[in-house]
Order: sequence, then C-alpha cells, then structure tokens
Amino acid sequence: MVLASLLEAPDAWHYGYDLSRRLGLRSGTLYPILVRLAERGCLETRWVEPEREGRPARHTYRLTTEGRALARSRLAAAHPARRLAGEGAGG
Amino acid sequence: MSGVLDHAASAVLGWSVRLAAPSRRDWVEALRGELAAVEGGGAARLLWALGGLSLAFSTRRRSLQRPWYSWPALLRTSAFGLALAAVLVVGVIWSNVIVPSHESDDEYTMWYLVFYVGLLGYFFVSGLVASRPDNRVVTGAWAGAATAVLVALIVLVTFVVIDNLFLDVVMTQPDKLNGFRHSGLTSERDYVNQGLLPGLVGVPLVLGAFGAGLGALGGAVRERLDRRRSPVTA
Repeated sequence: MVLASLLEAPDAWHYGYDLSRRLGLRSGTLYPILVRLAERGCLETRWVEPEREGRPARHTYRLTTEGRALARSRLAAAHPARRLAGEGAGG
Repeated sequence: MSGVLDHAASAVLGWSVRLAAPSRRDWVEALRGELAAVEGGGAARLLWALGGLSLAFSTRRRSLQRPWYSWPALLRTSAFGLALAAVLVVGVIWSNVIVPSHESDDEYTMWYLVFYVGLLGYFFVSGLVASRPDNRVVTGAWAGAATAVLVALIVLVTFVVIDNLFLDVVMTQPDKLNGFRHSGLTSERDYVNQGLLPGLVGVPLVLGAFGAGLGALGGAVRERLDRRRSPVTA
C-alpha cells in the first residue's frame, strides 16, 4: 500500500500526513513502515522549510531507485494479471 | 476543548521525543512537523501525536527483545513453562503446606475457572512471543506444547513430593479426607499417590495437546502481524 502510493508519483516528495490520509493509515502504523523502508535504503527523506513562519519544518519522503524497483517488483507479483494486460496493451 | 487536546498532543510528542532512541528522534520530530497540517480538530491531532509514542516505544521494545532473540531456541521455548511453573510451585507449597486451606475446592470453583482460562491464554501468548524471531507457526506450537508439558509435570511432581513429605498436613484438607474415606484404601499415602501418579502421564499429554494448538494459534497471529508490519507487503 505505502510502496504503491509512493510509486504513483515517484519523483515527488510526499508528506507523512498526506500519505496517512490517502492510505487511511494512522500515524502509529504508517511511520514505523516509513522508518523500515528508510532503513532498508528504499526511501529517501528530506526536511522542508515551513511555508508559514513559526511552524516546524516538515519531513518529506520519496522512493529511492532501489525502492522503486522493489515497489514495481512487489506490485507485479501482487497483480500478475494486470502486468500481463499492461504488457499486451503496450506491445 | 480542542485547545486542551492540542496541548495534550504537543505534550505527547514532547514526551515521545525524549523517550525515543536517538536514531528515532528525527522521526518523532517528523510527526511533530505534520501536527499543524492535521485536520479534524484536537482529537484528530491527539490521535496523530499518539503515533509518536508508538515510534518511541517500538525502539525501546526492540532493545529489550535483543537478548531474548539470542537465547537458544530450546531455552526460549521452555522459558514460559519454567517461569509459570516456578510461580505455581510457590503457590502450591504455600496453599498446601505453609498456610494450608481447610475449605473444600468447591468454594473456589470460579477461581479455578479463571485460572484455567488464564492458563490457556498463557499458552497462546507463549506461542505468540516465542515465534517472534522466525515467525513460524510450528515454533509457536512447540513453545505452547513445551509450556503446557513443563507446567503440568513440574506442578504434579511438586504435588507428589509435598503430599508424601507432608502427608499429615495435606490430609487435613476436607476434600482429601472425604475422598480417602470413600476410596476403600487403608493407607493415606496410597490414596494420594493413586490419584497423582497416573496423572503424571495423562495430564501433560492432554495439556500439551492444548498448548500445542494454542501456541500454534499464537504463532499464526505473530506471522500475520509481522506480514502487516512488513514494509514490503505494506
């Protein structure tokens, strides 16, 4: 779920709260997953300066090359029929 | 009200940062950075902040679990049985020898029921915890079975020993006196041993089967939990 969501916009940086809302996951479920993905080198993180003064910096996330490969392989394994259909349409 | 909840959310995240291992503090700070963006009022923000505690405690829990993982598998699967048996042996000696009860077991039917339900729950937990390193159902089943067999054997052997060593004290129990009178036996020692010795084989076997089943269930739950937490399947 998390990998698939991050893979939808692989070049974009994602906020934790946006991911949580999109996936319907609580912070206590989402963040340990993000931590483990980062520890495995699948996720890069970056602090972003706040849009409004006085607010704390925000942490953002993006899949690394390794993370994208992992996400694609997992998604392909989870949806082989979709992959075949996609290949058929493409070629 | 929302202001109070917002204040609580900030406090929870503050504690979480202090509680978290240094490697996790940035992640708790990340949760704090999102707090202002969380919609849905103070309750939603407090719920969001509670994730910080979860992050902080997960590292603490992991550091406590490390020695447990390094234990040999045999010791890990037996640890639950040995721990509970030690507690029960103290209880058995206390209630039969040191402060012997002179009431019938019938007075404690409800407590016995609670104890047996707790015991079955303990078999489940032993499977759940012991299968943590490898997430295998069979590890949980072994742990549950070992727990049950060890508890049954150690407690029954304790009864055999104290019933024989402190026969005079034990035979003041109304249930035992009553049973002896109706047994047709002439020796009190023969009476207590007649009840216990066959149980040394039968009870561990039956309880072991229950332990294996519930331990396997614990192992299955562990496997499922781990699959849910895995970043790959998530």
